[in-house]
Amino acid sequence: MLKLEKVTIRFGGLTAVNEVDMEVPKGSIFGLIGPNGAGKTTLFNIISGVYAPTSGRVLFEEKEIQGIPPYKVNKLGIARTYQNINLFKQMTVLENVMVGCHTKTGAGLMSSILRTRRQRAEEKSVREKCLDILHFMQLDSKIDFKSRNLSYGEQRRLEIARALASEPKLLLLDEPAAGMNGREKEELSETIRRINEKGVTVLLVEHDMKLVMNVTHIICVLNYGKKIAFGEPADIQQNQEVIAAYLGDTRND
Amino acid sequence: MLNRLKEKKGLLIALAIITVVCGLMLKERYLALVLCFVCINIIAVTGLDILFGYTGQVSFGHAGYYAIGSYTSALLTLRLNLPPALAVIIAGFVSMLFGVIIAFPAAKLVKHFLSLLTIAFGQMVYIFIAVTVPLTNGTSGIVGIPHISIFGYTFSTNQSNFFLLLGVVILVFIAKKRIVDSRVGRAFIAIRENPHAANGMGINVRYYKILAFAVSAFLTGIAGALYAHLMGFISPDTFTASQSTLFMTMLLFGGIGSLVGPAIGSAILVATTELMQSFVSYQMLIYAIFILIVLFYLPNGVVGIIESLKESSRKQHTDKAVNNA
Repeated sequence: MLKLEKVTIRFGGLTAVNEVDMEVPKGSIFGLIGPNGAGKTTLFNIISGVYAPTSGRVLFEEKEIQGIPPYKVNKLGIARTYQNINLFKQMTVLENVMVGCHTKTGAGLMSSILRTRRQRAEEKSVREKCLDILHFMQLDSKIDFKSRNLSYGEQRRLEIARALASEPKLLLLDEPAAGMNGREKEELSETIRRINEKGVTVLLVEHDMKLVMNVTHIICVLNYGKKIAFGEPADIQQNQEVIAAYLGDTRND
Repeated sequence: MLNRLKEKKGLLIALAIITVVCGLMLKERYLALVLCFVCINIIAVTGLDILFGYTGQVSFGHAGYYAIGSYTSALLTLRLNLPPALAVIIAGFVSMLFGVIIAFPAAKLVKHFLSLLTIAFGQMVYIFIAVTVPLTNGTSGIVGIPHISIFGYTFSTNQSNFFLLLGVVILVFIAKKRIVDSRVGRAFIAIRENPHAANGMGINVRYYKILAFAVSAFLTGIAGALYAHLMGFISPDTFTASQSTLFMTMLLFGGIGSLVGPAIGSAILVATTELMQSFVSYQMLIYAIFILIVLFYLPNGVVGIIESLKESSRKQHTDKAVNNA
């Protein structure tokens, strides 16, 4: 579904992502892990269009998408959440999710001013759809709250809800469990599985190893911008290079 | 259902106030003129609010659109003999065109760079109308601009003009409310709140910024055109940088990003200006004081006070309910 071919990005002299090849199979929950500064979020930003890679190709459903702007990437069916929560703070929870429906709707300025029948029908269906999503993400008791007044865990869930509103084929989750407590993390694993069961492919960046090992089907490990391992969770746990990357390589000392 | 009822209650109160005001005003010609100014400013400031309050794009050059609307409408009626009502609408679109032209570079800029661009635009328009004597008659201004007439009825008195302008204000309010509550309005607000996330959610940020400039320039242009036909006389003096500052002061004082904010701000500042007629040279100083009040005590304008009062009364309500339970 998503394929990276020799993707490289340099910022000045720093090579943040170095010739990464990766393929995310359709319908999978794909984990992307690595120590701090390994280039995971940078890779996310390349996929979602925030950065254009210096070289290499990004293919989504056989189409090259590298270098096209984020709003077009979203329209193609890739939605994302952000590591450092990026909600629309002054908008209500419901409005945040409704913004997520942007690419699936089409009302323009004139039809909104004139409140055409089509525009009203669209608004109504958007509302219902968003209420469903909020129910799914267990935020239905908070719909009229300003999003900045939510708890940290709720804000993370709202980010996922907003991403789901664009009906993505591929969902990119950037450290969705950061700042969550144990129970919230368990609920999150369950939510990710349920999203996946609906047919959405999930690409997950996460630091919490327990969660990643629990929920993902395939894992790719990055270190210093390079891919160092790729495989099923059980294999990754045994991989010497991965253990060395995480715990520090003592052989050369 | 409850919301519906609340909305209607607000509407009824507004209507009641308007009726009382109209009753009073029919006797007072001067009061009618002041209310006309209030209406015109509400329209202009509502335009600024769409851009600044909702989309987060600052503009210190809205006197430019005001001037373009005024002069376009005046020249169309005097030189081409177009009916004023039609000229006002065309003036709105001409102003909108300039809004779009400015928006192309402006959509790339943020914060102080955007402020500078919009200040420059306002100054350019001012200087253009002041020096292009063959077209605009320069600093002497244009006289004899006809009153608006619709279906053979000419709005020649201040009173009749007030009703006309009130009608336009109501239309503008309805349009604004509908825009804000729509997909387009959500895109505007999303851009204000977080342009990166808006982009990530599939919103073409550049397109919507340009659209906001267009709507904003249209409304302020219409306000300028209505001003020209109300006064019958326009000159560059009205369209200086201090007019842009005045619009911004009205918006900030009333409260940004709200429906009634521009109305409250316009009413209070027009009233102040009228009351202070004898201190005209201190006008800018008075606006500066208003801005300082906003900066230190009213970050959300007068609307902010109303909102926080509502919130605290609601809290008391729920507290009571909890205590009773």
